Amino acid sequence: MKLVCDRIALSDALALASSVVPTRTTAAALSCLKFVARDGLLTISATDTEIGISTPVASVSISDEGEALIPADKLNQIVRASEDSTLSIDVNAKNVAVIKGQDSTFKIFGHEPREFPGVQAFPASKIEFETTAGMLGRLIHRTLFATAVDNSRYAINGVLVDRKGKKVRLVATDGRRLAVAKGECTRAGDGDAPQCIVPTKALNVLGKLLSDPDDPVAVARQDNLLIVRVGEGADAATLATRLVEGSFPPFEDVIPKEHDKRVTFDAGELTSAVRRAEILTNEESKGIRMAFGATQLVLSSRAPELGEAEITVDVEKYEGEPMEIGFNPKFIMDVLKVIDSPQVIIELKAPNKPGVIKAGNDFTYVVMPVSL
Amino acid sequence: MTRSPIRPLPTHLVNQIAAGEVVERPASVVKELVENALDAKATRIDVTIEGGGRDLIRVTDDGVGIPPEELPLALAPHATSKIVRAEDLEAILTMGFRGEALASIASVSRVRIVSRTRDADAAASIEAEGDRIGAPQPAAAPPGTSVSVQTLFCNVPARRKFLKSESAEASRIVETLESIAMGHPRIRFTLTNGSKTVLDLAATDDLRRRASEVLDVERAGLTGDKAPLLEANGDEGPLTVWGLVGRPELARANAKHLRIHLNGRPVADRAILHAVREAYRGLIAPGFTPLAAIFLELHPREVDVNVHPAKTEVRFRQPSMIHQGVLRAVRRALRAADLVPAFELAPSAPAPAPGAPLAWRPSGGGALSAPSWSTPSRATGGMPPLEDIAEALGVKPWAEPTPAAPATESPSALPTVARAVEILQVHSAYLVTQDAEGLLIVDQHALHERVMFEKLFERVARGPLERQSLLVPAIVECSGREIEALESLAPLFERLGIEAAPAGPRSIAVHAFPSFLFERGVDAGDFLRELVAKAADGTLGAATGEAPTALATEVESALADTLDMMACKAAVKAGDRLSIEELRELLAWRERVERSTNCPHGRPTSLRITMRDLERQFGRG
Repeated sequence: MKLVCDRIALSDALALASSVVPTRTTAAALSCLKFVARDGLLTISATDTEIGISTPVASVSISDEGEALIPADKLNQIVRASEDSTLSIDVNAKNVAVIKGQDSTFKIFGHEPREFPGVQAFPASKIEFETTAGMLGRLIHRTLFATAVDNSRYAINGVLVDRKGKKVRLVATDGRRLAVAKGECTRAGDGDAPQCIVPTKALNVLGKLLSDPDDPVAVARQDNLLIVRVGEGADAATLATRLVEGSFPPFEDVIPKEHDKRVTFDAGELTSAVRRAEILTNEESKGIRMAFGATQLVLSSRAPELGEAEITVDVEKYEGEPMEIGFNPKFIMDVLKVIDSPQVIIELKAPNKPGVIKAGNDFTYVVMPVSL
Repeated sequence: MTRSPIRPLPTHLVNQIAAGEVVERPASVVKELVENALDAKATRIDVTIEGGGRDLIRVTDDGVGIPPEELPLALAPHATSKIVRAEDLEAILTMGFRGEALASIASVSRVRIVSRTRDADAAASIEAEGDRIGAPQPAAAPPGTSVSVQTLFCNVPARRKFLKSESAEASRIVETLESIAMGHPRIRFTLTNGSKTVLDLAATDDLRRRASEVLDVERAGLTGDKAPLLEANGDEGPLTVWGLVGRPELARANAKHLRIHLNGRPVADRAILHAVREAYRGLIAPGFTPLAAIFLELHPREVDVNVHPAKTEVRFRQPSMIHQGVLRAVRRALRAADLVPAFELAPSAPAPAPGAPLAWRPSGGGALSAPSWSTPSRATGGMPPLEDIAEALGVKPWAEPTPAAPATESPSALPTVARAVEILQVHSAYLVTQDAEGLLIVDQHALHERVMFEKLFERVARGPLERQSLLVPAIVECSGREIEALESLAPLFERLGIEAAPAGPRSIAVHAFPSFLFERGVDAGDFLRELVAKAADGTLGAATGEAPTALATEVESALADTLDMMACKAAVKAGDRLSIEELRELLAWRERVERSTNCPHGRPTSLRITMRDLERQFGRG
């Protein structure tokens, strides 16, 4: 395999593919990137056996077609440290890769390309739905933060994907809060798709693939894999991931169906107030008290030995009786970061009942209170 | 069936029955006889046994002796020189008082007494076996009394059969004698088993010396420059507590080396044992017992020792005050000490420093013991009230009850780790730094666990832990017994920020869990499963191995255990890399929290190599 490529384009593709490469592995092939140069196209692939990614590299000129398996770590360092505009890569039959710049020659020892487990190709016949990168990226952004790091009982260290007709929802929870983001498909298969849970890490990588909001995205299912194609034709990148097995908690039941208090805030003001109230919390006293009144919300926090804080926020609109409730400020901050509307609405019922935060019609966030 | 007529029991049968209570085994004979010797103001007591005490027990003292004419009375039941009237029972100062010991012993063995008063020219002897008491005979002996008991239980084969092996009975005798000797350092004790000298405790005024011999501090393998025994002192109302308590690393898996004396008498009171163990909670491993010699001085009015003939059980008028007083005194001693164990690099270090002598303070009882052998009460008539004697002798054995002074919280005795000092994390598990005394090695998990525990403990004292509700309850599968145990945990849950309820015949639903534990990545379901399992098998709150006396104590113990579980799960683990800020903070906490030298399970958090040891190892010493 012999080719010359644009260094910046190569660097971008390497960074993307490397995000899948496992940091600690005993299998040498898994710590490598696979290069395939064929039909004038270079594709770089990586896998950790759970997630696989294949991404094309733009602006390549191939003189000898072929395949190569090159250690990701060193290749990345070489390309990143280089100041050349183009680099040539030449891999011989003994799997030695020579990377040349204007004033540099690197030789690194690669592996036999056949040792690479491969990445599932996109099965065009099994498309579940199609949408845009902008839409899918937004859904992921608004839910991914609420997943659990580790939980043995439920499969909640991933995001639930649920499609009914052309409507698609992503749902995430860590057992104390729940985020539901709704979106539209541009095209969908007939009927409803079976729900599936996509691991957090795969969605993190997928998020990077979705950099151009106008890119078309196609999502397919095959066996226990979810395969996502981003872009079109020969330039399309593919990500394949195993699905999380197990059951997602019955989330529909925990979304309160009614409320008797409804507060409307300026999102920026609320964010600032919660951030400040959070200053005087500590490990053992996490919660902040939120006292809702007709015109004002008073936030207060108290950490024994440290001190106390009180912040007042104007309420744009309040419906219902005054009420006090405690929340972990982190859960409020998390959601305020992903809301992009100027207004947020909080719906409440009682101090021991969940609070609901809404932004527009396509986002609902349920958060459980803390006792103070 | 024909009716048996009711008849009074013959005297020797009454005595045999009484003997069943007083004389259980050879060790109880030793105890009774040695206590008589103490009451006779002996300065030296020699005990000889043969055949584990079955064949022979001889106790010889150099006390006041018994005049020949009183010898037969000494063997009569309920004859004593120690009690004159019923009021005296309210204020018992002597060791023996029931007046049944010798008679009981004689009823189940062959007893020979040889005694000589100090001013007599010759000794007299008397022999008794069963209900036959011989006449006094002239004999030759130095001043004092020697009581020999032969063929114990010869006429009670049932009891003789229940005796343990010779060596087991002998070791009980050693234990009994040690226990008494602990409370009487000014008296020399020897014990000879066959031809072998088992014990030889020199008379001393230094309690520390007697304690280190009796408590076997040397065999505990303690090294370093710190005294193995710490001085404890405290007053709580009418109670005075003093004595020596061992460093936590001396604790043993058995309770043989925890000696408690009340008014000069060894006692085995569960409440006191519990208080001592409680003071060591978190400093020693569960199931271990600290090594200590603790002396309680209490006005006899405050305690009833006449609960059982063996007199090791007592009944306090204000048991919670006693518990509190002991707990505080011991805890204060431990808090005031630097408990970081120093360890040897090579076995060349000298034996540990013994520590400053601790002058023996005779118990009110011991100092005032009325001689039992010289003044039999029936012969001489009434004695003045004991308090008058005390006053006449110028002894003030008991302080009048005074309101307890608020316990002053002494700051941690740990040498400070200088703020600017370098801290090295070794293999993501240990921290190495220096303090004023030398090189300090800290187990990061153990220390963090202790810090977490103390923080939680303090927080719970102030109010319930903050509770985070769960969106979907965590369901825990468990047994029916565990579901039953859940109910008993309700008062704990209230304080700990846990909300859980049965969700069926075989499962529990957790509805809320402390936000603190969530933050530290502790799984609510796993935690509850472990907690109810512990509660169901009775190990929760029972780590001290002692049935707590009051319900409140039980709840507190369970609370401490649960907080301990929380702390353990929330603490950093071995293998967690810590930033320099985290390392600094952890070490700073070491000086701020109590008992930071040990994790809540009692394992040490820190070890020290002293400068002295380093110098020695590098050949500079």
